[in-house]
Parts: sequence; structure tokens; C-alpha cells
Amino acid sequence: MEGAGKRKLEVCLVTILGMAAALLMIFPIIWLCFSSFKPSSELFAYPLHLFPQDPDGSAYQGVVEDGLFTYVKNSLFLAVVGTLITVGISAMCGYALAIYRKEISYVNKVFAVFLLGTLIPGEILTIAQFTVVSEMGLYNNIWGCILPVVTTTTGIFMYRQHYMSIPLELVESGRLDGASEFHIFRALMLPLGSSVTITLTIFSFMWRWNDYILPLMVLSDQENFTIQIAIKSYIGTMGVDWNSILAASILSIIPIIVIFIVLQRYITGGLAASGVKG
Amino acid sequence: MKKMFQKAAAGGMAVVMAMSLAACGGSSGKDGGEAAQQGGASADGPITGQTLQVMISEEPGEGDALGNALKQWSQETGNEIKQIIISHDDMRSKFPSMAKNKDMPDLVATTFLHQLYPEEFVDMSGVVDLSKFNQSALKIVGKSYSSEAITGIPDQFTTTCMFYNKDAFAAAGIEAPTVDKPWTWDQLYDNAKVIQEKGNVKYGFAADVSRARYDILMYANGGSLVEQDGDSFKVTVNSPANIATLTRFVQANNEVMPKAIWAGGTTDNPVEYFKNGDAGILLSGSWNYNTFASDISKFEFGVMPTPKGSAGQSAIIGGEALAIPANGKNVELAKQFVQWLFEPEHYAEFLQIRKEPSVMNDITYTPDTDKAKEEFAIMQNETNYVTDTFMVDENSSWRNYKDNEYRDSLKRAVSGEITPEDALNGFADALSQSSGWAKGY
Repeated sequence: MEGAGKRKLEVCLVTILGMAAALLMIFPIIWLCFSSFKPSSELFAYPLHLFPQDPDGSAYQGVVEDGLFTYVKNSLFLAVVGTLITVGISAMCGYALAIYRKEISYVNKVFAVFLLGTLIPGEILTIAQFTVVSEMGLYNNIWGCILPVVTTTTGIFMYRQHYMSIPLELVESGRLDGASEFHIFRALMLPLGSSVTITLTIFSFMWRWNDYILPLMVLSDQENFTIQIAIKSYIGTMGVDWNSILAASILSIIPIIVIFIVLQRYITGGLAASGVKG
Repeated sequence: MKKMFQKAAAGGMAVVMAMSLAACGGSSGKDGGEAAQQGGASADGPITGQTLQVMISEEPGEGDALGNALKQWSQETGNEIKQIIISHDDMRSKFPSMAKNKDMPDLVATTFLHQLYPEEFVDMSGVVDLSKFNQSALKIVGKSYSSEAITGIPDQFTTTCMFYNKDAFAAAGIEAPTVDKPWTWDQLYDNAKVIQEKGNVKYGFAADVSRARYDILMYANGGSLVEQDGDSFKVTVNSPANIATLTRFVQANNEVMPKAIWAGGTTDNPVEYFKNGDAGILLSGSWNYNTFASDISKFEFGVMPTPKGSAGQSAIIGGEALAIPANGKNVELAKQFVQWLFEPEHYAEFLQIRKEPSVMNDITYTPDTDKAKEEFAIMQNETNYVTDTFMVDENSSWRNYKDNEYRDSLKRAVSGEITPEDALNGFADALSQSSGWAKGY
């Protein structure tokens, strides 16, 4: 009984600590949200107030009139299509690296080369990517922002580690039943990797949604711009339009939050699964 | 770390792209390229039915003077307008990438591209009559960094100026200076102390954390960063006069200014301090006027002339210019718009919306109220205080060698980390080494 009481107390303390940490994490978002309704005269007024004293939604109206939904639409296309391709490529590549590791001798060496690539910061590759995009005739084309970044070692790594935890006998049984390699991958292995798929979907969506440098370099028509480029345009040479930045930021994080809320229960499982050594 | 890589990548990108500019651009001379001949240009009359692509640096807000002018011109001439908004910082990376892909805009509103890449832009002497413009504005805002060519015509003209809290002055029993009877810098510091004590403000005086704001103290006291030395320059930033100026500024930070701002302890913006009624006097610039007029309701503010130093008054001017890329698709159309904008009646209308000091000699902005008229007259008058020493410093393009290091040296002196003398000596050494210029002191 004494042990049970101690356990309850521990749970209670951990819960309180967790809630405090969560509050600490979410507080900037709450501040951002309320500030987006403050008129500019209140934004930097001292003493600071969390709640707007004279709520004003004109910044939201302004950013919508500036074409925010066009930019959101472009970002959604970039994020959704980019994520679908990333997940597809990562799953197939991870499958090959895991399942053929005993059949093809150099598979692990290929994987080592992939891992070496993670040592190079993505931003360093931007110049090379931009040059390739230009030469391919994809300048000022949204596909020029998608194709260079659809492959991700992180995604391949996650799938490979997950598939390595699955007995090879399962694949062998599929082959004995006469299934093609693609059918085994699609019907047997891909569903088993659903937790990794969901985790990578969330990550990839966030990466593509927040992409900045490549879209900035590649896109040159205003109507093709993404939300991140649009938000930056509120920073002027003589001042910053904080109201518009706050309103646009709030609207820009809504898709990420929705995706996270819908899929969050799978994140931990996916990460844990990808770390299992086969 | 990620931000550092992003900055490094953007910087690297800009360098690589800038190198490619040499290969891509400038081939068509100052009057534009082949593309200019394909834009529906007609020697007999204005061009119509074309699209003018304009690159601007920020989402237009209230009082979008340029947008309004473009719209009006578009309606009058039957041409279309297509805007592309690239933030000021990103233009450095974006413009070279556009050049590499032969995707130049027809017109650019920029504070630096035309000065950094003059070979990419049309020489404006062939577009408008430059004698009609404020020559200082042309030199500072429109001139190439590497030659005498005017590659941009200022569409935005700003000057440093001083704002003050009228309520705080009244409470402290202090009368504001006038154009005819300006304060000295010593008087400003002394009065700031009184205002801080009796004016119901936390700080008597605040100044933007910008070397361009600090430098007006330096120029007023006869100092400069460099001096002309034959065909070259010599570094004079550590002159005795400059050390004395910085020493006094450090003292003022300890006594009447929000020291944490200049000492690097906070990223607070002193402009917000003034807007909140926490600072009695603000050294900033004319670009704040309209925001102050709309946002400040707790007290009445005013504009006062810059104090005198041992060498007189001083001001630093700046702004944004309209520049025409030589390899744009519609060079002639862009020229047509620039010529239209700077016709007196169009520029006068433009200026009424922009609400800024004028860049054209015979045209001034006429505010609606007497108060604003008086205050704009003071700001316009400030542009006369641009010193020869400032012009020499600008001509030297010293910022190509060292830039932020100067402000960092000033901040280290204010924080007390090093003495004013060591701060300026250290920066003089660094600038001299980078530029190859001899030291004057």
C-alpha cells in the first residue's frame, strides 16, 4: 500500500513536471497567437500584456488580401507531393538495403555511403542543386523545389532499420508463394512499416513546409512563391510589419499542427521501431 | 547551427552567383540588351501593351506610393504591372540567381544592388536629367560603389533626425531647440539628464544601435573614418577627436541612455522605448515619422534639429533607388516609367503619399497639418547638414573591407569591455590591414 502511494506520488510529480514543460514549450505559440490580434501600438508596449487590450484582426485580413492563400496552396503542393515521393523512395530504398543485405555483398557499403552524406549539411548542397535545377530547365518551376530534396538518408535509415527487425523468412515465404518483389514490398512489408511511414510523413511534411533557400532561389514568379518567402517579405528595410508577420505565422503553422495532432500517436512508435537493430 | 549553415549557404550562393554575373551580364552596355529591342519599343511614342516586371523589397503597406504610381502609369499607358517581392536581405542572393537564368526584372527598387553590381544596371544619366535632383541624394543613394555612374534614382530619401517627447520636455521645464538656435551635443546630454530626472521618462536620450546614427556625432565633431590621401585614403577613425566623441558617448550611455541597448545586453529597439514614452529624446531617422504620427497617442512628440558639435551639425542620408537592369526584358519600358515618375506633377503626387523629404530640387512634400509642416521642414533641413567628411567616407567604400566590426568596437567601448581609445585603435588597425590604407594616427 505504501509502495502504491509512493508510485502515485511519483506519477503525480512527473505529470506536473510534464505539464509544466509542455506549458513552457507552448507558451511562445500562445503569445504569438494573442499578439497577432494586438494593434501595432500594443505590440511593444510596457508593461507587457498577454491578452490584447484592443483586439484587432486587421492583420489577418491584410495577409489574406496580400495573397496568403495562394502561397499556402503552393506550400501545400510542395509539402504534400514532396512528402509522398520522399516516403515512396525511402521505403523502397530502405527495403532494398535491409532485405538484400545478405544477397548482395556491397549493399552495406552503399548504405555507408548514404550515411556519409548525412555529414554534409543540406544547405551546402544548395548551390549544386540550384545549378542542376537550372540546367534541367526547372527554374521558376515548383518541381525544381521538390525533386532535388525528395531523397533523404534519414528516411532511408528509418525504413532500413525497421525492415531489418523483420525476419527475412517472411520475405522468403512470399517468394515461395510466387509473389513478385514489388508485391512483397507493397502488400507485405509496407504495411508492416506503417509507423515509420507516418513518422517520416510528419517529418518530411515539416521539412518541405519550412523549406526556404531553395524555393527562394528557384522560384521567380510571385504567384509561385511559398508561404515562407511571403512571410519574409514583411521585413522591410526601414521597419518590420510585425502584425502581418504574426498573423501569417499563425496561419502558416496551422497545417503543421493539424498534421501533428492527427498523427502524433504514431511518432514515438515509429522512432522506436526505426531504432531496433536487426 | 542550422541558421549558421543557412547564412553560410546564402552567402556562398551569393558569391558564386555574383561571380557568374561577370559572365552573364553587362554585355549589352549601358543602354540595355537585345531584349530591350523586343519590348514593343517605339521611337514615335510611348510603349503600350507590355508588362513591366518590378522587384520590390517588401510587401507594400499603407501609403504604397510606388504601387500607386505604377498603377496610375499602367492605366495611363495601357501596360501591365507584375510585382515580385524579395526581402531586402534576400535580394543579395536572388538577384544573381535571376541574372544567371536570364530572368532579370525590368525595374528594381533597392538600397544596394545597383551600387554593388553597377555593370548590371543602366546608367541613369541617359534616362533622366540628373541636374533636377538633390546631388547629395544621387551620390549617396544612386551612385555605383566602384565608379561615378549614377545607376539608380532615389525614390525614397531619408535622413537622420531627432525626435523628442513634448510632454517630457514640458514636465522638465525645457524648451526644445529650433533650427535657428540648435543645441550643442553637450547641451543635449545636460538637458537629457534633467529630462530623465523631471520629465517622467526612464531615459533622457536614446539612439538606434547603428553606426550610421553614432557617426553623426563623429562628423559633428569634425571626425571621420578615413581621409582622402591622394588617389587613396588613410584611416582616421582613431583620431583624438573621435576618441573624445566616443568617450563622451560612453559617458552618456552610463548617465542618460538605456545602456543595455548599445552595450549589447538586449535586442530591444530604442524606437519602441520612445513610442512607449520611456525615452525623452530619440536619435533615429525620418522614416519613423509616419509610424510615430499614427502610433503615438500617450504623449505629443516633435522633431528637433540635430545638435551642433565642434564642427557644426551633421546628418546622414540614405534611401532606396529605382534601378533598371540592363538585361531586363523591357528596358525601354522601365525607362519610360522612371521618366514618367519623375515628371514634376507625378513626383509631387508620389511624394504626398510617401510623406518623406524630397529628392527633387523644386518639389517638396506638403503635409496636411501645420505641426507636420513644421516638422517636415526641420527634417528636410537636416539634409543640408550632410558633411564633406561623410561624403569622403562613402566614396572610400570602407564597408567593403570592414563593416559590422566598427559597430562592434563601439559597443565594446560602451559596455566597458575596452576603452574608447582601444576600441577605435583596434578598428583602425583592422580596417588598415584589410584595405591596405595607411593609418593617419
